[in-house]
Amino acid sequence: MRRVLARLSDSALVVFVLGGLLSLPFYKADGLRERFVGAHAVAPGSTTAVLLVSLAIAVFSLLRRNHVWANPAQLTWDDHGDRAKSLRRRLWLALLSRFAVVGYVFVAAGLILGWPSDLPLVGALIAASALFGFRWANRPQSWPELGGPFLLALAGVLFAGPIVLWGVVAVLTVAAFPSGRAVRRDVLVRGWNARILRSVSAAFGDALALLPPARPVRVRPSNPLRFALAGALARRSALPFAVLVLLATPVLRHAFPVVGSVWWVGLGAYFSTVPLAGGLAEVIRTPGLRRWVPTSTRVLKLAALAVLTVAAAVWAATAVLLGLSFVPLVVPLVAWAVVRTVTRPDIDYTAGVSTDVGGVYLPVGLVFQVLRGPDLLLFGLLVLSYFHSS
Amino acid sequence: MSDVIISGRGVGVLVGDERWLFRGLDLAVPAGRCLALTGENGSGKSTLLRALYGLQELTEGTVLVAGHTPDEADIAFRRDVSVLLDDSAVFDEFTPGQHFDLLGGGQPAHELPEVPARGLSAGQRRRLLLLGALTKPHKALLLDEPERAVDASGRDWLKQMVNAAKGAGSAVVLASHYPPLVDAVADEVIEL
Repeated sequence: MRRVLARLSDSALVVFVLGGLLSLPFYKADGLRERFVGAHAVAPGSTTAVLLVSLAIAVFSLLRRNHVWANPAQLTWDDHGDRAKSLRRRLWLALLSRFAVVGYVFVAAGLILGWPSDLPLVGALIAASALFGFRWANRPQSWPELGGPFLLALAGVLFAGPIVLWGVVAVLTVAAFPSGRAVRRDVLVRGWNARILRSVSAAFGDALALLPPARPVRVRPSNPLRFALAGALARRSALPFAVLVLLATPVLRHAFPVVGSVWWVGLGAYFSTVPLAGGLAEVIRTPGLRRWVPTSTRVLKLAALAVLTVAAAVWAATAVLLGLSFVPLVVPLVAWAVVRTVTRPDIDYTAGVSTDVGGVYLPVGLVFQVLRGPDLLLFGLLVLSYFHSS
Repeated sequence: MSDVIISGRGVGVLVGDERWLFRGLDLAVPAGRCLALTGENGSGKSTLLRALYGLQELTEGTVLVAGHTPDEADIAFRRDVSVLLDDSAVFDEFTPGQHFDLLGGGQPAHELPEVPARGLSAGQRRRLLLLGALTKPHKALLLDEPERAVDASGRDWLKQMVNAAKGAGSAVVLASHYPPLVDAVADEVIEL
């Protein structure tokens, strides 16, 4: 026993803490209900709505096709085997891991918010979503595939009844019929490059490297404002994610009414607009690109702030249409936090000395740098939620 | 001389503890003249260019470029100095025309296709970078191996462009491994 305990490292402690938190719904469901639902009555269908949103996120995540990659060296020197076999194995793993999380979310929501009466329908929804995700993730990327996750999320927003939900099951099942198609070499290499980028980004705690790459735009970037607009439009590939977050937010607001609209709108708008600031992040981080833009950094930031304020306002206004309340100051706060996030200086890894924080060693210097931007958002939302609730 | 744009006195960069890339170097490049840096790989050509742009600290000596101590973080310095360095890049999503819009110096004559830069070949991207460096209004022009990835006709075009920049009053420092280019544009050569 002593030998086992001696092997426990700080990371094991983190696992224990996380495990403890995740197991709370299993023995503290009443306490969690009181904290997140309070005196409000639990909206009927809340657990099913949370399940639908988590299914939408799981399918959306599968459709990112993070399993589609191959080492170019292997493609060059050892490309004799069946590529599809290893891709299918990875896809199964990706599917199982995501749906394990969905299963946990469903059980936790059931314990806190109450179990849905129609469990066969729940099973059918999970199976149809898994089938849809598996089949479409096995095909080349296309816009129609987004219909699956959006349909699931929309059904969640509407707190749809059993008849509609059986319809959703039918649509997803029928839509899953097209068979898979072989992946081309260039897609595999692109996937490999994206995978390397993800691992480097994770290793160095540099989430900004994961902002979406730009696509061609028609806007002529002849002044800072137009440059900021072009940067946002060039990252329109982030819009489906923004829509998904937009649809998930009202469900969470209804399921957990104690958490105020300010928090949901603030966090949702932040995560939806951060990708649109990729253009500003790129010029700040890349000297070779910065030289193309002969404007002061301050002016670039102000231009991005203006464009992001409009984007955050559109997002927040749509959230209002879906039943969330509007707090005007959230919009500039989000835009400012996004600009602060993407313009943070390169991370100084020499400041990564770990410090004992309550028994867990944390690289405090790094954490402070990584939180530049979210810190402003969280502090601002804290203040706004105080005034908004009082 | 009052029209000297790029000057240096006793310039030296020490690599490691004891290897001097170059030392005791004096430079004086007036407006409309070109200094070429030649030498083997690793002889310090790019390092000297980086020093002139404020990206490399000098171990010894001082330099002045367009009246500034080189500091690429200083917008006034950047406005006076145009560069093509190893880290120069293009926006994949922008066409050549959109790149020139950014510079605000008008659209130069060119034969590049008006497609997003990701669709350009390596040589075309290099030409775009060169056009960007030459189009941007400047007093000093620093070019690191501009002939790289450019085809034979492009190299002739390059000679004309550098000579045109000199004619417009630029002080040019270029590092090159291509003797015909050096012969065609350089008024002075430093072999490192």
